[in-house]
Parts: sequence; structure tokens; C-alpha cells
Amino acid sequence: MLKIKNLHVEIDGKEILKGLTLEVPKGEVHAIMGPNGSGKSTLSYVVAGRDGYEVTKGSIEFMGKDITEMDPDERAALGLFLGFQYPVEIPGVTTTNFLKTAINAQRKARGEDDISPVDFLKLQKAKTEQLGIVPDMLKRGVNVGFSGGEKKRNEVLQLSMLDPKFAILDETDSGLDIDALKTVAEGVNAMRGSEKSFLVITHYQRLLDYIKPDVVHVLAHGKIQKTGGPELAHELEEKGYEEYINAA
Amino acid sequence: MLPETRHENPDWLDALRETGAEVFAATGLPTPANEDWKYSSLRKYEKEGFQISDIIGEIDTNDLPKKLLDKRIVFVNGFFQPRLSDQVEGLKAVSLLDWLSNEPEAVQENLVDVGNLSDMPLKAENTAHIRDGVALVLDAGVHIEKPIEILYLSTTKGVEVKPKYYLRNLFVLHDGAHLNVLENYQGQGTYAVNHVCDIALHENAEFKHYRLQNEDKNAYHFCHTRLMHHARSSYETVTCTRGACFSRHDIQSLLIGAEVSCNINGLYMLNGVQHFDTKILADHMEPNGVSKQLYKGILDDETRAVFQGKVHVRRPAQGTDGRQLSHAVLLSTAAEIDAKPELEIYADDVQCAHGATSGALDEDPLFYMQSRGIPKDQARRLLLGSFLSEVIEDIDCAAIQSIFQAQIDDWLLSHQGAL
Repeated sequence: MLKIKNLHVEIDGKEILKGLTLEVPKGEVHAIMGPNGSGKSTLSYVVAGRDGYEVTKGSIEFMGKDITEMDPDERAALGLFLGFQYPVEIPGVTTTNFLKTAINAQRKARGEDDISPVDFLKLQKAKTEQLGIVPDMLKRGVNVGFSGGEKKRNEVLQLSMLDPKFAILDETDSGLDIDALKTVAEGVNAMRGSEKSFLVITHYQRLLDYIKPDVVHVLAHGKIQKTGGPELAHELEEKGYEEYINAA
Repeated sequence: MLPETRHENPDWLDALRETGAEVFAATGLPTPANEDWKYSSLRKYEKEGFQISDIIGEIDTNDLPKKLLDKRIVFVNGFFQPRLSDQVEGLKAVSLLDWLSNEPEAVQENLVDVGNLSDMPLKAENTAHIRDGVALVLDAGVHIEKPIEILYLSTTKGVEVKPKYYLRNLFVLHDGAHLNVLENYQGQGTYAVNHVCDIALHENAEFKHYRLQNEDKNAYHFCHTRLMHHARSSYETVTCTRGACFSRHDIQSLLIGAEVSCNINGLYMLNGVQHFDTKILADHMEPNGVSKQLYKGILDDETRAVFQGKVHVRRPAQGTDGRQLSHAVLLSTAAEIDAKPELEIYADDVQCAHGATSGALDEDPLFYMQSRGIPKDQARRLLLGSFLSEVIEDIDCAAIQSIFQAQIDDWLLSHQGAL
């Protein structure tokens, strides 16, 4: 589903990713673990299409299409989702309005009609209940005044309502207490299936106890250094990243 | 075609005009050397060579812009047009000429206290040319809660010079009266219009006063508002500015009674070479007054906005709550905002705050929205729209709120290419 080939990425002339190759097939959950500064967030932003991340070499292919030059909204409409490490506040735009606008923008890009207001509200109600989100949050500006946990729940709410084919979760566990972590993981697990793939980016193994990955990759120095099964995460938890940090 | 003047000019009015003329002759137009006009030059305006005009071309209903509310009162080129206007129940008078012919003493009482004209050259000029204007007078206890539109249409139809129009507007709300008004400034061509608006809010009166300044992009718009706030009166105003190449709005709110509430808010959307200047004074003289100012705007191209807001709290005005905020989004590097919020406080038990921000549209929310599938131009519109909507979110009259919302949406859509 996602194929990244020999990806080199620069920010302000500084090379962060140095020949990263990664493939996540349909239906699988992959985890990327790595020390701080290894390029984890850069990877998530460049796949989502953020400005300022210059791909100097290599390509990103999604659903058989080269998306390297696409705008972020075009990628989203193809079914790509990025759960932010630091969700952004948007004062004045309510979560409900934001969700509806996003859903309809994606539908429009795919040549579909707008979602009916009734269907939208039904969907929203079902998903907020599932995630334990208080309805009041939906009436507030997106993420404005939300706690860290609420922001992450809101990310998962967006994820489950937009129902993408592929989701990158960037440090979704950071700033979460254990209850919030469980809720978030349940939300993600409920979406798992043979048609969907996930790329879970995390520094710690903790999240992977709740969202069990099929494959674990170690990212350091802008490249995948090692790939293995779930046991690799436990190994990292015990030994730390030292061996990879010193590898360069 | 001038409306018949049903009343001969009373002596006091002639004297008032003469005073205005003398003061204006002495002051001339303000220049940036005058602190109040530091950021705004009238040189271009002077060069246009506007001339006083009494001509009102044949205007019928078809020439008027779409009616925004149920009831509309129409002025064309400075004069009341009864033929084009609706009847509104509960009003003692509608136009200055009307009121002057019925109750000249009452007009005198409300008109003669003009303040210090030498500090207000454009008001002095207007005073020299007092003719007609809106005069809405509500007796004690009269409530007009349903908003009334007042349309000020300026045209150059049939006028050979570049015309200059003067309006002298009065709103008088006696004890406990309520009024809700939308002033709509529209026009076609290169003209100048000078409005002076005097508002008297007697005890417990409540005035909701909305303004839509959508003059021709070649027009010059001046408006000087002076508000006398008696005890426990309340005033709420929102001005939406998107027209005129040059506009200047002065608001002096004199809180002469205790426990008054005064909200002066504005939003503006500028492009091309538009220049918009607002100067506000909230002068707290008695205890427990609340005054709030919130101005938000979007500036594109080579536009410039000026916000000079001042909260003055005199010694007796204990318990004052005064706030002022100015926020601007600059869409172009050539756009400019000059914000000068000021507090001058002589009482000790007060709460006052002020602040100003300006900057480009934040990239983080834009990327966040795009990553959810919202195209960049739509994301920008949504962000800018929500930025401006804060100014109108507390308007409790749904009809007015949706008129302003439509103005915001319309402006943002018409700038889709530019955004």
C-alpha cells in the first residue's frame, strides 16, 4: 500500500532522511521506533506532504500512485491520514464544522456527493461515544483548550470518522496517561482489518503493547537500520537505542 | 431635485453652521502633524477636488441595492427619501429636516452640544453644512427590537462635479428606549461623504447599532460618532468595513453616567490600496462602567489599517472594566497595520487590559487542515472567516449576524484567487 524507495529529504538544506526504504503492505501494522532526532517526525510529515520538506531523491508511492509531488489534501483524499504528535489548535472552527468540512472536501475530491447532515451526525455520535469524547468538545474550537489526552482522542476521532486506508500515528502515545492510551489504542484497533494499514511511530514500546504491530523497524540516522517482528520492540525496550546511535 | 425644506432655518442653526465654518476655515483639513491623524494623510483626498452638490438624480427602487432587512429608511446623496422608505412605527422622527419642522427646540437641544470643534476639523466642516440626516427619536420606554436598515446611497448620477455629501445624524433614545439599527453605506462613483452622528442614550436606554461600510472603492468615507451615555444605558456597535479607498471612523464614547455598558467592535477586509483608520475614545467618568473594543481585520495587497483606541478612566470612575484588542492578519508583505491601544487611568479600583497582534496567516493550522483533505484555499477561507467571526459571534440578533457573515463569506470568496 505504501512504498517508500531510497528517500532523501532535506529541511533548509540539511539532509534528515538519507535513503529510507520502507514498504507497508495492505492490512498490516508497522511500527517505526527510533531515538530522538532520527527522522521519525520528518518521515511522517514528508509522507503527508508538508511544505518545506524537500525530497531530493527517491519516491513515495501510495496505492500504486507516485504521491511525492502531491498536495497534502490530495493525499488525504486518496486515503492517507496523519495523526499529529502535536495536534494544532484552530480557534473559531468548531470540531464538528472541521470534521464535516474535511469529510466533504475528501468526498468532493473523489467525485462523491456531500454526506447528508443526518448521516454525519449519526456517524459523529457513534464515534464520539466509542472514544469517550464529551459532546461539548465538538462545539469548541478544534483542540482549543483541550488537554493533551483530549487532543489525542480528537486525533483518533478524526481518524475514525475520515476512515482512511492508511494512517500514520506520530507519537500518539506522548502525553497520554494509561487510560487515555487504552482508549486511543482501542479506537485504532477497532479500525484494523485486511483493507487498512497503519504506521505507528513511537519512541517507546509501551504503545505497542496495546496496538500490536506485525513488523517493527528501527530508524536511526535517516535510514531503516533493522527490521523484525514484535520481539524487536521488546529488545529495544531492554537495550535502548545505544547500538543504533553509535552505529554511524 | 431637492426635497422641499418645510422649515425656515432657525437662527440658532445658522449660528451653529457659521461656527462650524469659522472653525473649519481656521483649522483646515487635518494633517499627519496632528497626532490624531498621524497615520493618515488627506493629500490624495484634497487633490480629488470634491465639491458640494445638491443634486439627486432620478432614483427609484430599482436603483437601490437589495434590501437587507424588513424595514428600510433611505437617504440618497444626503437627503431623506420618503418615497423609497418604509414606515416604521414608534419613531417620533426619521429625518433631521422632519424633526426640525416638528420640534425645533428638541433638535436644538440635541444638536448644539457639538464638543470642541477645533479638535475635529471634519466635524466642523460637516457642521458648516448641516442639512439633512437621519434622526431617529424614541420616546421613553419605546422598544424597537426588530432591526431597521438605514441605507445611505451616494451616487454621481447626473452630477458633473466630484460630489461631496454631508449627513448629520441623530439617534436619541429617551429613558428605557430600545433601538436596533443597521446603517448601510453604499454608492457608485468617485464621491466623498462626511457623516456626523450624535447619539444620546438616556437612562436605561439600549442601542444596538450596526454598520456596514460598503462604499464604492473610489469613494472617501468619513464618519464621526459621539455618544452620550447616561446611567445604566447600553450600547453595542459592530462596524463591518470593506468599501471606500479611504475611510476614517472616529468614535467618542462619553460615559457620563454610572454603570453603563459600551461595546465598540469592528471587522474589516481590505484589498487593493484601501486605507482604513479608526479612532476610538471610551471616556469613563462615573463608576462601574464597562467598555470593550475588539477590532479584527484582514489586509491584502497594499492596504493599510490604523487602529487608535483609548480607554480613559477618570478618578471617580471606580470599578471600571475597560478592554481593547486589535488583531490583524496581513496577507501581503506590502500591507500595513498601525495599532496604538492606549490606557489612561486615574482611578485605582479598575480592571483594564489592552493588546494588539498582527501577522501572516499561521502555516501550522493550514497544513493540519490540508492533511485532513481540505484544499489550501478553502482552509485559508475557513481560518480567515473564523478569525473575523469572533467579532460577530456575540450579536444576539440572528438577522444582523447573518448579514455580516454573508459579507465575510462574500469577501473571502471574491478573493479566492488572491488568497
